Amino acid sequence: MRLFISVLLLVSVRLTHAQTTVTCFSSADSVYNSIKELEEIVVTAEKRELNPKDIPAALTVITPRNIPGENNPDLRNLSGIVPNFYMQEGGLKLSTPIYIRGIGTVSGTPPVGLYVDGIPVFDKNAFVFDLYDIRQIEILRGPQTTLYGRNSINGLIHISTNPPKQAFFLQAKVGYASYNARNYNLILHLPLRNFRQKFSFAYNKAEGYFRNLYDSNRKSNPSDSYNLHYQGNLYTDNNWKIAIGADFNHSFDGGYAYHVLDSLRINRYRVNYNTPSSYKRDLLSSSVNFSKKGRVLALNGVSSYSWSKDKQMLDADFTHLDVFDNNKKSRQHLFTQEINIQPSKSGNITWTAGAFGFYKDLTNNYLATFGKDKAYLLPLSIEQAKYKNNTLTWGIAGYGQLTVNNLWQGMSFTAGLRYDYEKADLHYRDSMLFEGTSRFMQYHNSKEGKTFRAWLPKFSLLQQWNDRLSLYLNISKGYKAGGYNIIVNDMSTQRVDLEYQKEQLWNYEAGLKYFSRNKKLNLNAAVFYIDWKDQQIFVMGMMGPGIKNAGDARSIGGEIDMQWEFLPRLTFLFSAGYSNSQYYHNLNPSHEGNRIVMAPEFTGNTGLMYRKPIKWAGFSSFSAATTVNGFGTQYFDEANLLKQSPYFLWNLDFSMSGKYVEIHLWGKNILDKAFFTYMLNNPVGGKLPQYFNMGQSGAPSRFGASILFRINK
Amino acid sequence: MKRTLYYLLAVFTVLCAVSCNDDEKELSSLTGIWNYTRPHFEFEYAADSIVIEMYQGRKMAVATEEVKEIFLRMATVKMQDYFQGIEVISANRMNITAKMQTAQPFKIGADYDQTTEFIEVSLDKKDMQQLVGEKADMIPAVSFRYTLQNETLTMYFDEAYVRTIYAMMENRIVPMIVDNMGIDFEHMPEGVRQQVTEGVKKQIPLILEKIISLKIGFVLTKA
Repeated sequence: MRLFISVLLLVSVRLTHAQTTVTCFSSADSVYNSIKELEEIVVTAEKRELNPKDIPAALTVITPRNIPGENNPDLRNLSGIVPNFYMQEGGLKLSTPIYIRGIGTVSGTPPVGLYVDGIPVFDKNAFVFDLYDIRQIEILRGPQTTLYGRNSINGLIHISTNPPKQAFFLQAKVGYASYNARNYNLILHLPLRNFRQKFSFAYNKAEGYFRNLYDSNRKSNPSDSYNLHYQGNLYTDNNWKIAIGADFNHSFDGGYAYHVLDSLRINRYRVNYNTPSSYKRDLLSSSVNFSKKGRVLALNGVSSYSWSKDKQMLDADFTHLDVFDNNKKSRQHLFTQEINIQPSKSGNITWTAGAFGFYKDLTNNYLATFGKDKAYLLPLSIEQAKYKNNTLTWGIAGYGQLTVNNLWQGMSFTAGLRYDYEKADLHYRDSMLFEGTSRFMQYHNSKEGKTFRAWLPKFSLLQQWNDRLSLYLNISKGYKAGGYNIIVNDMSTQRVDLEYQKEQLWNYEAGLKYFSRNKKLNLNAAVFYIDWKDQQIFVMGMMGPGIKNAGDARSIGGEIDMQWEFLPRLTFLFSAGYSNSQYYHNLNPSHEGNRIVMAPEFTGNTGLMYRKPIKWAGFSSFSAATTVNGFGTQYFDEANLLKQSPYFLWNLDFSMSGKYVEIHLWGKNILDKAFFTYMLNNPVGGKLPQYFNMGQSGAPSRFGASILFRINK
Repeated sequence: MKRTLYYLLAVFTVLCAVSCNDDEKELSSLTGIWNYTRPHFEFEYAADSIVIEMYQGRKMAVATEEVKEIFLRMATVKMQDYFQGIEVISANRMNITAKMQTAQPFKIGADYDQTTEFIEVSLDKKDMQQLVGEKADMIPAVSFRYTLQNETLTMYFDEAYVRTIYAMMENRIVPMIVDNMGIDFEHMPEGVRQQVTEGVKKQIPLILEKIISLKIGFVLTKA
């Protein structure tokens, strides 16, 4: 009730303010209408240029205007704003959970594919990066494996960055926020006749808000990152477009701020562990994207190479005791190649076909060090355990999709099929340094390989009742390849058993999309049923993390998102997603009927957005938004004993923009709502029950401001 | 359009042909009855003798060759008193034929998992409970390395496994060793008993570290 009244008061203040502030209009912003923008947007996630109404799948399009709050937003900021999309905020890049429609993972291969300008990003630890030069983000819910293959078992995030401009352009932004967070970015467009170029740089640094009692109460989750980006587009006389891209990203996060739940309820941001924990990551990626639109066929190809190196240091018992620490280093090379062809012009029959291949070389080196208090965890007297895991994975796939339009009045039918083949070769060895000895003794040594293959069909029916309303039905298969865990957790056997199997699901969905004639209302809704087999879940073993196939689950739910400009320039925003996701078959029968780990029962975002043209001090538009973001019940263990009840976060956003300058003020979690973003059962809890239930508090209230300058030629 | 469909068909055909490749190695079948023949023991040590420091500065040295002979003699006598062989029923199931000295032989059921290098055996809890007379909640799987030549199956633990089992069960194994050292441990003062135990605990890893190779197991022949 208090929240509702606060929102009403705020809206009243804003309406009153709107009556007195406006004097003039700017031609650039006076006709801006977010609903009209959505209706006219072109979406390329289906590997063709389509209008959102023509896509028979649940889709949310985010433009830079809609990316909420914060000076350096990333995909985690879209949690709840996109129905049934949850990406935990406040966690480290390595272990950020991602869930769509109740399907997801804490660690390992993500359930959502991520493509940036047509280039795949395979690993979840590369999913968190600044969204500072974005044209639009398309989020499709439901399996996209027919067109995108592995990883996109239950969704796809397709990010398009702003292409290099035809004219000189310079933009600089400086921001400051709570906890001494500083952000800077610079974007420069330098065209040279047919070759357009863009350079960009971003830097972020923050002190963090957790303090470590063991370390004299110093801040334990500082972060800093920088990004360098280059993009060059060449346009030739015979209709070729060649885009070259290079990107380097460095980031460092202190963290793993877990502590006993009871203690965090008293002091949310006070932890107590003896070994500094952090995650450092370097990512380099490069790509060549070529396309040619002929008279009959259009050809598109993308080649990419990425290299990454990361280092994780972790106090693995999360206590002040010296039980054990983990130190993990990994290095990866990834090559991908995709070719796609389709007709240049659309007609009654449209189709797209292509082939995709990749090669991935991943090496993990892992060192576990056991301290003087190791007896609380380990039944064996060892000082250290070293692990080396090298996995070479390559895959090829072929896909095709056909759409027959005007089957009947306004009806179109789409069928697609993909064949995905993948082979993984593992070389694993580990060794132990026993107490009282001076050399490591090899224990496990294994070379093995496994293939994974799948046929991935999809079928959909789209009925356009008129140019306002479309309805659709969709049946599609999702797939995530199996693989190998990084370390062997069971030291009582010399047999190496690292393998986990593929997971598959079938998604059955019906939905509608509506744009009102007066461009004042956009409504999208869908209901779905997902049958999920051999779910891969994250487990914390004695020696470290792992993935296992837990069983089968189903997820039933629905989602809705709406924008309604019910008064001039005042838009009501509403998006909600519900998913009832439960195991119906589990390795542990006592978990059958339990809710899936981490997936919130609902996600929600509602609020009001006001936009008004103004003419004041070089500013031409003003906007204000108040939103409430909510998440339903979450369980953090398969037994459903660790629970976070529903919670709601209130956010505010103000901005003024003009041709040369923009000012932005924001507040997140204004009322400083306390909640847990993660909970776990600590392995040392068996012998130290006071440490059994641990967790991490969600981010506190934060406020910030930024100023942006731009020069256009 | 036709040409495009032909290309697609060709791509899918190639994919199917590639996907038929199965690179899992074939394992030799173990089905049948295997009788215990003799112990298997290989031992190489970095010194001619194993020296153990006793309490009050006393030392005991045993020649490496003598260790081998003692072990083989003991194993030859003791193993056949308790172990008769195995009957492999299927690709993942076996019965172990055991006996308690002069008593009648009995069978312990077990699941097993065979790879190219290991046979991992998990004993049935119920059968173990009957054998030991008390509830057996956790019975870890035991992994043997193995070699199979014609009709001779050699199963053994290697040095790494012995070291790991020792590290896991150090607190149970050290008292057993101390009890068998031929000293009047029970009548020693508490402080001295602790010294002796700690002394043995410190030395065993050093002794184990000097082992160059170790294989302890048994040889079975097919009936």
